[in-house]
Amino acid sequence: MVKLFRNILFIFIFILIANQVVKKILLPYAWADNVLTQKIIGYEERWEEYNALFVGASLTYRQIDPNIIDSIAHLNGIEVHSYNLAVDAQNFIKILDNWQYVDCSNRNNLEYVFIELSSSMEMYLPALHTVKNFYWIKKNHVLQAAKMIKDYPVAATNKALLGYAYGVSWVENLLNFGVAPDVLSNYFVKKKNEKYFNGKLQNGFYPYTEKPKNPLMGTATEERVIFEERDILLANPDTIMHAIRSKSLEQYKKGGGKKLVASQLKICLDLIETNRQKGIETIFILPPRARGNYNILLPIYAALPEKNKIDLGNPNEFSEFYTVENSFNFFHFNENGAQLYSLILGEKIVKLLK
Amino acid sequence: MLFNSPEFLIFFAVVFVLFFRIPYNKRWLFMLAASYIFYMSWSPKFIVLIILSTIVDYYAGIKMGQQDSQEKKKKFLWLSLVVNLGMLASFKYLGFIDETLQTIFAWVSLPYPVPEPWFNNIVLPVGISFYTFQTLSYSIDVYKGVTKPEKHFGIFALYVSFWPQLVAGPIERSNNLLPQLRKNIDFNYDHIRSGLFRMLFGFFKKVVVADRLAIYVTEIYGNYDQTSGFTVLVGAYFFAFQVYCDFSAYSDIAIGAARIFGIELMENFKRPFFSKNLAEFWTRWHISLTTWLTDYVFFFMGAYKASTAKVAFNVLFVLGLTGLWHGPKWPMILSYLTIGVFMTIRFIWQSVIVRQIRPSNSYKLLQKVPNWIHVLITFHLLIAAFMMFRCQTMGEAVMMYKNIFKFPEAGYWSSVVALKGPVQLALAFIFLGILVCIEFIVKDRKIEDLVLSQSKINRWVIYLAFALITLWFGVFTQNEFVYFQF
Repeated sequence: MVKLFRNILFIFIFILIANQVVKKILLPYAWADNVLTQKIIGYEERWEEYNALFVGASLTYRQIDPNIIDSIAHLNGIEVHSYNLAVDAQNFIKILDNWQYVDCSNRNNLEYVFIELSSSMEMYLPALHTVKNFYWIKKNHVLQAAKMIKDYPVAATNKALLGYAYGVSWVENLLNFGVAPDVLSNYFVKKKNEKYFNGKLQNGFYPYTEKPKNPLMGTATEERVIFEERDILLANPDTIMHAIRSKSLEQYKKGGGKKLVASQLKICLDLIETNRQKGIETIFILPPRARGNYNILLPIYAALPEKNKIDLGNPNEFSEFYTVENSFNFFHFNENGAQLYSLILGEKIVKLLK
Repeated sequence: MLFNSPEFLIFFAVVFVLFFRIPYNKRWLFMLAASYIFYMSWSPKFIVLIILSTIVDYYAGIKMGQQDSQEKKKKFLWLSLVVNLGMLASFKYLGFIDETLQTIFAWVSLPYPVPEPWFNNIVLPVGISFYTFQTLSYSIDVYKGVTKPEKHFGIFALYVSFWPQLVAGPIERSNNLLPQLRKNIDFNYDHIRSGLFRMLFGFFKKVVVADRLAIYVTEIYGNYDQTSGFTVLVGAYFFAFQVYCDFSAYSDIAIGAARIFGIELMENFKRPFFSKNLAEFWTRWHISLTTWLTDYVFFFMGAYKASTAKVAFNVLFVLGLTGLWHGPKWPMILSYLTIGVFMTIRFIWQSVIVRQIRPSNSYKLLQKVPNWIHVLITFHLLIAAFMMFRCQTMGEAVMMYKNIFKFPEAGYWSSVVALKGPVQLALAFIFLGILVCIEFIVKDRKIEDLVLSQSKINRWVIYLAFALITLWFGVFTQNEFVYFQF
């Protein structure tokens, strides 16, 4: 049996080494995510101009127009030149990873970073075992996830499922499960011009729109899903919007309702401190319609320092964010809604920075 | 749990590590528990059916063993047949029978008297077609005196539910599997190495070849009303290879896993697409099922010891039954019946026409045709028959066949390429080509025997190549083995 395990171990080590070599040589950051790749290219093309960065998921990507933010700031005598680096379907751990990438690169003149607080550390489980889902998960992400899962106010079975999702995804990344076709496509297939993912003004903002000229999402499947969600909303708009609003309101009334995820709060506070030492002010944004997660996010938000947070989620205060007219699907604005959101956010930012 | 899932790898590792540490006399219990856990990971409540089948067939076997005449044994054989086939019919075929009767009543414009039946919503228990046939073969063999009744209930229960082959075969015979389950198995490095490589080869076939082809098959068959011409043909070829790779991969993994624990399961596929005629194909494709049907149905009906018309009927009946075993869908039944028609035509040609007209120059000329042409013709007859197997309804099947002749392409091929990009499509052809080459080289040997006979360096290059290719090029989104639906 010793010989057998030794041979299996040898094969395993060989595979690990081969995989690390392949990754180092062939695979750039975000290689499996064509949208994030475009966003990073868009940022790096003009990084010297930017002193502010928005990072987050779709509630940032599709809803925050840096041009509007910058204009409002400029009108109030504050110099802000921002870029929207957010991408759809990023959980909290991935958002921080994207920020780390920029932070650790030498291409950063930033004074402000705005981080979306909405995404939790959950994974989109139907996407489990797909390359786009696991390609970024390293040991530090798994450790981060493990700390947060411990505090997460969900049932033990959900915790086990989350732990399993991260663990398995990490193993799949270590062993490069099924990555070769994507790698080969990167090198041998003429790349489409996908700059449209950076939006009309190439500032990273690309709102959801009913009749897009170009694909809205990175893959055909994702494109189909968001429009299916839209169809469901249009079939029963008032009922659905009322339900989303009521749920958010109920969570706001309770101040959340779930136990504080202390580990996630610590990550946020440490990040504020670390960035401050580099001369970067960190501001967490709690967006509207945060996918019903206010019960977990509000306790974290409440514990953040006042000058490092903006809350735009309260339905009583921002009822315009909970209307069908401004909606694309359940949780996202359409272009009008995104413009309105950016205007209000801009004012909040100015107030904070002043 | 699917074989190509992380859960299975964890399960397998745990079973492997513990198995050889357990005393010989307790291993059956451990393996039985593992088998039940394996099955319950699919559908916990349906474990009841396996246990019921086990109890009934164990009892029937013991009782048959106590009888001194075939007549007295018959009622216990009937008990086994009724319970097992009854279970299979209830879960698998009642809805089909109802649907067919509804169609007939509609054709003749009569009102259908049966109200909306509840059994249309019954979920098919995974593997039911396999384990019921396995237990039936035991009962029939005990009845015929081919095998002695198993007295150890635990060993018998393990025979029924042995996890490597429980949900998709091979359908094992009792006189092969039962004696092996009773043996004290020692750790054998060569068996384990051989078994592990066989499993690796199975994973390669499944995740690199079958699941890659499945992407295109699903798209082409899913849009059958728009698919035309060349694309239909590509879908048909891909489907034939997909189902072969998928099913034979499962068998490879099952055979490899069983070998690690000292059990030799029967081979289930022997390069079927290299068959020179359909009769040979019948001996190379899903061998455990075809031999089952040959031994217990075809020979029971008289096999070849009858008039030409009766033999033709026997062949068509068995092939129709094969299609029905696969599923309660007319395309599946007619797909196999089509093969049956081809086989019957060949049988009639050989037994009647050739005998009547005597070997003529034209017949001698036919014999001079190279084997590879026979292989190609047989392969394309199979493609023609299997094409409809994947269809959900006969309407869909008819449209697929009609659409072959629809030209020109409405740009559909380019959208198939665009589905996963040109690289994935190129890889589908490349790995299919590699598999065909491997099968051509290996011929009728076992691949693991061929690999293990190589020098140490060659062996290790092969292990690492297959491991890396499977990891790097595999399609790992959740694709079930095709044969689980049976």
